[in-house]
Amino acid sequence: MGEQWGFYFDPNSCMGCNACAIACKNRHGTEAGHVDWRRVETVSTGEFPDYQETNVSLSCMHCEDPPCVDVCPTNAIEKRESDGIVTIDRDECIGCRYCGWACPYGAPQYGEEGLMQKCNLCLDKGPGAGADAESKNTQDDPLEPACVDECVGEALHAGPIGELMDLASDAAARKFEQNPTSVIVEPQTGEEGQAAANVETPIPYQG
Amino acid sequence: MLAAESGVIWVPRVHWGLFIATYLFLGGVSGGSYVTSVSAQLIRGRASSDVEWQSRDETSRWGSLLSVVAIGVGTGALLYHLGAPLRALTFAWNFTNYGSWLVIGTWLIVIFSTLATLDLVWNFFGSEKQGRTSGSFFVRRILGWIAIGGEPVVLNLLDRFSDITKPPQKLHTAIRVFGAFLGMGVIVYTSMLLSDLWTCPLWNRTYLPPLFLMSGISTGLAATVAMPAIFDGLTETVHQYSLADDALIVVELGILLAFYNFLQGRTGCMASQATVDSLNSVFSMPFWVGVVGLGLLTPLAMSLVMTGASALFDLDERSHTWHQIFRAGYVLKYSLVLVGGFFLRYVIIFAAVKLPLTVA
Repeated sequence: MGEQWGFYFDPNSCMGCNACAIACKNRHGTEAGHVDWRRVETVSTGEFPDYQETNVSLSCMHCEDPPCVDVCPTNAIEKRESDGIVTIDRDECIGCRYCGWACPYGAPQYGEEGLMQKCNLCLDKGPGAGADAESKNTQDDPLEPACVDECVGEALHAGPIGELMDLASDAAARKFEQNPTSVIVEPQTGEEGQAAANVETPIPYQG
Repeated sequence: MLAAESGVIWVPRVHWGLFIATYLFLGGVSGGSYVTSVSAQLIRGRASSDVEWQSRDETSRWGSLLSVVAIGVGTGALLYHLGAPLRALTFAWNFTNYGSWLVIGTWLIVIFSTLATLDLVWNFFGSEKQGRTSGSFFVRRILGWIAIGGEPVVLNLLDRFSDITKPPQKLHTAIRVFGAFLGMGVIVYTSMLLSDLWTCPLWNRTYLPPLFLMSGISTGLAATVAMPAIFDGLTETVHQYSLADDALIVVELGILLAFYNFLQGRTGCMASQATVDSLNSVFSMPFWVGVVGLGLLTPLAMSLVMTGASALFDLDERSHTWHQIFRAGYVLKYSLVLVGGFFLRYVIIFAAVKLPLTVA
């Protein structure tokens, strides 16, 4: 089991400029319209005068136990042993979109051709590229994810989780321990200094 | 659009549309038609007259035919939805994730369709079926037009195939009963496919399977029994099946309202509340009017009126006018059941709301 790779996100440094989302589209040549491997959501909390907006940059969370993998009929989606990155083999995908429903983050995307594509932590360039790519842990010069490369405020980082943990505050690290994804999210520090913002995975619904 | 709520991110959804709703609906109709077909055969021997025996016999054959037609069209709708339909045709070696309900369902449908198709051949073809002319045998008439040198080659081929392969009556019945269970499996699978995911409160594991099972059998029964009513006129069998359908509708309505009540009661779950809101706003027409009004309450009321009128006023149903009125009434009732069944799948797909991401 190679070291797990993931993202680190600090909403305090994110200005919601969408450079990450555009850089991603650019690098992977995804079609115009609603094919967004990465997107920025702005969340409002509270009411005036305690109103606050939080920008959240979202992509595939490269979950520890990805629900998309569980439902894919052809095993086209894989949680790689070598670096923990979740990839899609588009040669195996039948385009049923079951993974789209299974993912709680809305990460799987479908272009005109109807096959699934999503963030692969820039294992390679192009839609769906990366399923057969060498592990990030052994690549000579692993590609810096475009979203990280273009982030104006340095709110996004990518790398082995161990290295990302060095960037994280104690609060973010504690939160990450209970987090079923490979994304470390920094709590947001409001003007009062204490309001914490964190993208929480929805709790599995017990009907 | 969902209401903008404080501190949450609503996740984009609706990856499935009309074709999948149609597929889920037709899967239910197919399984339900087959169950109805087998039940009609099993009660055929206890018919009170030759007319009723004939009506049950026809019902059984129509169910056999419709189950194959419905699953065929439904599978077509499913394949049309796929991004790479040709890859799906290689499911036997490509569908390797046996933990996925999509794979379990594929095998259920394949086995069921194969059995139902073989059964259709045994029910419609063979030397003993030659010369039969009742309504459902239009299949033979149509195939009889395909002739080479005056010989109906396709019909002859199917007759010969049926004669060679048809098992003895008892074994045939046993195979059909097994097929009925498979048919119910197909209906239930369409609900398991959805409720296996925890992202949408509307796709609930407790309520969806019984709801779809009731609806599937009810819609399959409606499609099947409408046929002898259309082709042969009103019989006691058409009426009796309508009463059985009423029982299914009452149970289905109970489950549906309990489910709605359950979602409404989950005040702490924003997605449940958003689902209820959408059922009462954007989807109020398909849900309250389409499913509940047209699909459940109206057929129930029609059946009540027709059954009550027959019992209370001693109407002479043998008179041509009354016969035609009741015949049209039952055909309309069964049609509405089908409309409601379709709207149920439509609403379940389109009104599903994903659990939002929270920022806390």
